Amino acid sequence: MTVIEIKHITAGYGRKEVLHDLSLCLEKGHLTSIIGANGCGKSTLFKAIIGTVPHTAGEITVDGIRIDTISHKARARRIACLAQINTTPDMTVEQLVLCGRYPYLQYPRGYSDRDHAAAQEAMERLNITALADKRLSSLSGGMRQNAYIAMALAQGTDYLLLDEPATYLDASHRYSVMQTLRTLTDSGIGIAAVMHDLPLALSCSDTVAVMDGGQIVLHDTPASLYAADCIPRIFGVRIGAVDGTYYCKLAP
Amino acid sequence: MKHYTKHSQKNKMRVLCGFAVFVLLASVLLGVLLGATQVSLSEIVNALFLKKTETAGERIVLYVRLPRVLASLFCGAALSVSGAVIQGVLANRLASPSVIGVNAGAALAVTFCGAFGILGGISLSLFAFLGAFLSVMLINLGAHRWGSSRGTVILMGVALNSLLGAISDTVITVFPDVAITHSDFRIGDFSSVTDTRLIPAVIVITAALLLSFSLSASLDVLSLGEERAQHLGMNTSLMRCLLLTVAALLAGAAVSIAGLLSFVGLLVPHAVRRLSDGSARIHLPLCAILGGAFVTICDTLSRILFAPYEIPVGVIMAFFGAPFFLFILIKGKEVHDRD
Repeated sequence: MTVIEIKHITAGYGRKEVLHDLSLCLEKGHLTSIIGANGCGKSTLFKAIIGTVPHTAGEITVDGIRIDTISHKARARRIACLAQINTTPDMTVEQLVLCGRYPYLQYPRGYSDRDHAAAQEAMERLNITALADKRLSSLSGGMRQNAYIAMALAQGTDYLLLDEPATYLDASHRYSVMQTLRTLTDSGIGIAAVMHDLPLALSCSDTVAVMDGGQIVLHDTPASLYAADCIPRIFGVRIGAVDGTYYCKLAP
Repeated sequence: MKHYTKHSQKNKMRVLCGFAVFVLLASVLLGVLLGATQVSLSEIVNALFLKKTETAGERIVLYVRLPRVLASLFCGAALSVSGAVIQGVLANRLASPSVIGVNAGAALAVTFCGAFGILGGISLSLFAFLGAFLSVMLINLGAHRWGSSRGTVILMGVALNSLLGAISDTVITVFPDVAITHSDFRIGDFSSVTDTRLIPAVIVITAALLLSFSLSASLDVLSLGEERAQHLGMNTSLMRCLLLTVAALLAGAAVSIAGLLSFVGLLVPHAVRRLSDGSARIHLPLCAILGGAFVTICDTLSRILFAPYEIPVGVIMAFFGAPFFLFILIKGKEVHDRD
């Protein structure tokens, strides 16, 4: 069942070690939120999984294959990773989604009918087919995020890594994006998402991995984390729960 | 609805490509037909298709206007595609071969060649490429290794332009013979086009254009940003280097023919981007076609506006380019602010 298995990895930038002896299992059909304070290594963890930041110890396997033994394109055919969005390229939604087929492109061939069909299917799953010819710059933040998720989906992988997919979105778009992610996990795709919104992460995820100081200090279901009362200890925030929905409490 | 939208988009692109080819053919015809000396259509047909050189008009068409039109077509196509590639790789809409110092690098190399007696041939094109390549790699280093912002990249280009221009001036001071052709070279001009300069450059430009078209999907992915391109399995360092080499080949070859043609590498990619759907697969060929047509029309205007006197084509292009550059700065500000 486990798709991505991270065993005791150490990784960082040059001499700066960011992840220390980190272990984590990510499964198909599950939405795992990764939460932690700024600078604790959440984004670096994704970069290590995708191989853009090399790990100096431990191993990362995808479906039993060590990630550092396969090419960049082969990795991108197994794991889709979406970095934080802070620029808007000058292209249409359809062109962006088609970029998700890049790992399958053989030089000097262009995109095949199969690639176009995969892009079309990804747009249909995200309900953005009507926006295919719209330029990204003309879309709202939520719609643009859906277009990027469709691009990641077009990669045809079993796993999506999303770095802050709900950041900068208003409340309605935030919940809409999370709803979309739930629909994708229901279809069997495994998703790991870096989240800063603790109540949203706890409310929408199957499991939550808490990072601190470059390590996963806890990885459990939201209910177990809530019961263990560890969120206030790590984040200094009080959390309340009503029928499986979580909210932040203001300090008394 | 879905199919309607898709078909209407495809039809729009077909119409646009048809229009671009029509403009190109019209510019070629006008370029051959118009000039200080009047030539008839029959003389053009005789010269171009029957290779006749009996009348003065036929000789003018075959030996003067045709090479000149070819030179302007290829230079316009090369500089426009070079600009589009540089803008895509650096993710900077204000970048172009002339703005970031790529043309100035090629110009310095050509000036050195002039000083040492190399006035044409493949070696001139190669040196021009080398000058353009070193400049674009320096800017690329600044943009990525030092994490320079978009504005800083442009300022680096301004500084590089000044530095390379100063070195060129020094070379001219030491080798005064180079100064004879240098003023035309600096403004950009096709009046001194020769076969020895044209043929090697045309070969280089054709090869580089085909290479750039074949890399259009990679250019699209690179424009998503370094990190996202890596996540899609791209070796970004290698691809950036390859695309910038192609851009340098194009700019260097164009400069070796016509000198410093400013604005075309900035103006045409922007104008085409407003018309096309933004994908490099359409954008690059359209830049090549319309860039070639634009420079050919400007060159024709430079020959006929004050006939029999001729003003350098760079002057005409600056008249179009400078206001357009200001327009981009004002209009593009909101886009860059939003990004």
